[in-house]
Amino acid sequence: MALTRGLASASRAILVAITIGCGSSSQADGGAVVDRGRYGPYDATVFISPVPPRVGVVDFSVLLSKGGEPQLTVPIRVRADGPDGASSECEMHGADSGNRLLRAGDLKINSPGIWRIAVAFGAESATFEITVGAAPQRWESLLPWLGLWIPAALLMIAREVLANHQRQRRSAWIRRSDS
Amino acid sequence: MAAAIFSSWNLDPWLIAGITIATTLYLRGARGLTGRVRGFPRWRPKCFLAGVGILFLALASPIDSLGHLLLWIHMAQHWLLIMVAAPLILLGSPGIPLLRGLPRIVRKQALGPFIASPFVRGCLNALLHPATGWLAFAIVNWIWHYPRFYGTALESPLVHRFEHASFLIGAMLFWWQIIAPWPWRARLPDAALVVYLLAADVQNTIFSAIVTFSDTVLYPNYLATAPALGWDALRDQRVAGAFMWTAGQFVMLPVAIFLVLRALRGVRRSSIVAPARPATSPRTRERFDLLKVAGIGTFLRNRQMRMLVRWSLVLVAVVIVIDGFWGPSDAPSNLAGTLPWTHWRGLIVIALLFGGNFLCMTCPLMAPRHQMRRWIRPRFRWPTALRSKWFSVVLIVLWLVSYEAFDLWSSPFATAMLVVGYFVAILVVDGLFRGASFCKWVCPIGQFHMTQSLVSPLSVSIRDPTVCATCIGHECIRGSRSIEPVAGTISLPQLVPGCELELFQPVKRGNLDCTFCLDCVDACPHGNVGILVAPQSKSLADRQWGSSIARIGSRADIAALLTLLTFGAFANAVGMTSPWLDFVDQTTLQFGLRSTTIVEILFLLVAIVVLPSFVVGATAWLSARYAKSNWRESLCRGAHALVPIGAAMWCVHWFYHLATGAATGIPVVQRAINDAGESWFGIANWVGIPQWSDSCCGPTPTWLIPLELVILQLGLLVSGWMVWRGPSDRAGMRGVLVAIPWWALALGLWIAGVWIVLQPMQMRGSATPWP
Ligand code: SF4
Ligand code: SF4
Repeated sequence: MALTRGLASASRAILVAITIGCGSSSQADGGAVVDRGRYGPYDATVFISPVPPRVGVVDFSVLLSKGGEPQLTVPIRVRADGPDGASSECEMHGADSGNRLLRAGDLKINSPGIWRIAVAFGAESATFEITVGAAPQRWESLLPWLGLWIPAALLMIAREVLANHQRQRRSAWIRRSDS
Repeated sequence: MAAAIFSSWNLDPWLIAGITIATTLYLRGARGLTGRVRGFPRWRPKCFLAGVGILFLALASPIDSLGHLLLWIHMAQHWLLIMVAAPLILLGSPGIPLLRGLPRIVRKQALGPFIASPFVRGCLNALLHPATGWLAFAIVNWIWHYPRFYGTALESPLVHRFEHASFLIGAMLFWWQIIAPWPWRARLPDAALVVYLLAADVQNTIFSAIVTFSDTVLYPNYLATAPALGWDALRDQRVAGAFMWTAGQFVMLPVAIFLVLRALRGVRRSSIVAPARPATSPRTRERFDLLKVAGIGTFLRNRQMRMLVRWSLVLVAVVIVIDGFWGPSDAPSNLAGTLPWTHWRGLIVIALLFGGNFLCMTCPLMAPRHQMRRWIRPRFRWPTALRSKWFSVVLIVLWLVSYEAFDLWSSPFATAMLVVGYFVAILVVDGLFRGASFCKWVCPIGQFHMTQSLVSPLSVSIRDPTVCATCIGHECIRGSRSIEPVAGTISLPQLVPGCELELFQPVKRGNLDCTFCLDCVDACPHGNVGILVAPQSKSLADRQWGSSIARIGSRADIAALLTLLTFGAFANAVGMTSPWLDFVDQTTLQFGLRSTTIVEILFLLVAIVVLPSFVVGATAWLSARYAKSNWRESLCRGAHALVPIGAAMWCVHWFYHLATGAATGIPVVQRAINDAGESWFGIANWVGIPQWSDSCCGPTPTWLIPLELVILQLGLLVSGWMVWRGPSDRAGMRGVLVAIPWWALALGLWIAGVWIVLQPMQMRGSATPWP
């Protein structure tokens, strides 16, 4: 009994800690493959998220291997050049990512259009283009958070309808048994 | 590489929160069942915990991360979900423990009608039908392994979560028939279950064979990733198919053999499965009472301790006043410019939302007042003409207008004057008038606390009505004249005052007018008063007379106070948005005014007086027309129902300041201590930490806006609920018509709140608007 009580309070404490402490940076836990190929001795696969990419922060992840062995120490940089001359660059590392076999980094993409991406690893580099869509409106990106009340309200309505029905049946039953 | 693999944990906060909540509820609910109820032996919680552990392992461990790169590991993940986690969780019989683990009010009030409904039971029956279970298992298996859907799930984290959820649910529906978790009974005899199981095994075999013997790579995503780990994509696929095949058999065949043996032995399932109802009734729980909680309850019941807290806060107030008068004049670096406006207000809303009116309880003004009352006995009664909330309404209007128009928060001197003025006011008013006249009829901050605590979950109320029914002394209101010291609180016999706010416990309704001073707790000789969980919507739905409040449907002054504070929440918050500040500047320029004060005053008066009078009046009129009832009654009850959405807006606004500016307290306190010639709290260093020198605002954390939207929605839902329980009185279809105008108003306020939250904020002390 004491064990269950202890576990219950421990899990409550964990919950509080998580709700307070959760934050996220580059995820490297999914996304679409935008480029893959052999560059010198390396095999590189580049993923991006979100799919399709939109103005804002875009998460780039790279799986770099050499002869079937993931390369976790080769320095990797990613650079994005936009249609209006804007550019953004960052170092990719494994520390942020969920999947540590991947190397991840976030780039701030600030205008829609075709962006040229260059991923440099060692002396090699992979270049390709991505089409970036317009940024979602602020409310659009928060849409999942804005609509929560609708299912909750529907459930509340259903609850009221059922409770009302049950009340009526109960009073009809009482009337019948009284008579 | 091994180190990288083993450290690839995917600690998704939603997953962890979901698992933690479910486990907490289960363990809480299982507490009274384990070992006491037939059908719920001790091994059940162990199975549940094992199942949840496997679930966590499958979804959060490196298995999940590697599943994106190798198909066979992804298949292993699915196997863990459907063949291990799902049956183990069901062996824990989670239904009843999870229900029992929910708070009583949720279980009874929110879920009760669903559980009792024949329609819902019918749906549940259909869902738990063997055919549904089998089909769900097979369909989920085939659909998600269709290459196109599989690829989509790999690319989108959201779809991937949905995929895993559907695997788990499908598997649970499937295993339900075989395990028949207590208290449900199996619907099929063992022989039929063997067929049921083998049929599922056959479809699994067909699927595995297709994957194993295919000559092409079915899932192209792995063409890129498998070779990077030294695997050929086709070989990876073959291993995945073989794994699905053998691992599925590994679980299904032993279960089938077990069922065959049981069928042959002729063991009847009814003797294996426990009776549908618990043999002994589990212990019922009492209502939560904060005063009975060890530690905090003892502390709160102790009168001297409460006074000690108040005196400590007097000390803080004195320091703030000294810094306000003689410290630096820029608000961001002054204690008076930060602590009251950023920290104290943020803590107020948290305390009100999750507790009760603890701010009035610990109010520093009470300490000198208490001391003064030892020497001075007030002679007068508060004038009858002023015994309503109208006087406070006027004061609150003045308060809100001057706060905005004269930027009180940006002047440490004005803040210090305000604090001193408050101390003087309470000493004068309560020195002249009997009872807690200042708290009840004057204090604008007190009115704010008391009205917003209408949404608090805790209330000072009686534990047992039958004790009050036989009570003769009514000491909770008259005061205790007994020479008996109150248990554990007062060492010398003395007079313990009764409720100075004229609230008589047995007929006290809700938190309105209650300062949580706990005098009634000290005075009641029967120990019958506690701080109990009490849904405030109950007091609203109650049409009965309430002590000192009378009938809420007849108090226009209270309705005006509530409406003012509801609309005030929105007006106060809009004052910090960039579009509004631009509008004020433009209007000032357009009319050739030298300062923005006039525009701000006019706006405030429109927003908190004119607009609410018109809008709430019209809503009440419309609603009363449908109700064929009294306009005044509709107005008073409707104003109560809008409190939650207003409280949500106050919370969103003030919590924003707290969340973005909490850290500013450190350098400001350091600066004050340094000015006093000390450095034991460190040296205030403003260089390079702009958000600290900006007094109130670092960049908005990413979680803050979603949290604020959730709070606003909770406010909307509770307001909608209170409209239904209040003005509409749940009177069928007519009740809906009565409620619609109030619902529309609450929705309008919610939209305004969302708009405010999504605007860039122009914060004081910062040069640029924060996004
Ligand atoms: S709360 Fe205590 S003093 Fe007041 S009526 Fe009830 S039993 Fe009597
Ligand atoms: S004495 Fe009155 S104001 Fe104080 S806690 Fe009791 S009911 Fe509330």
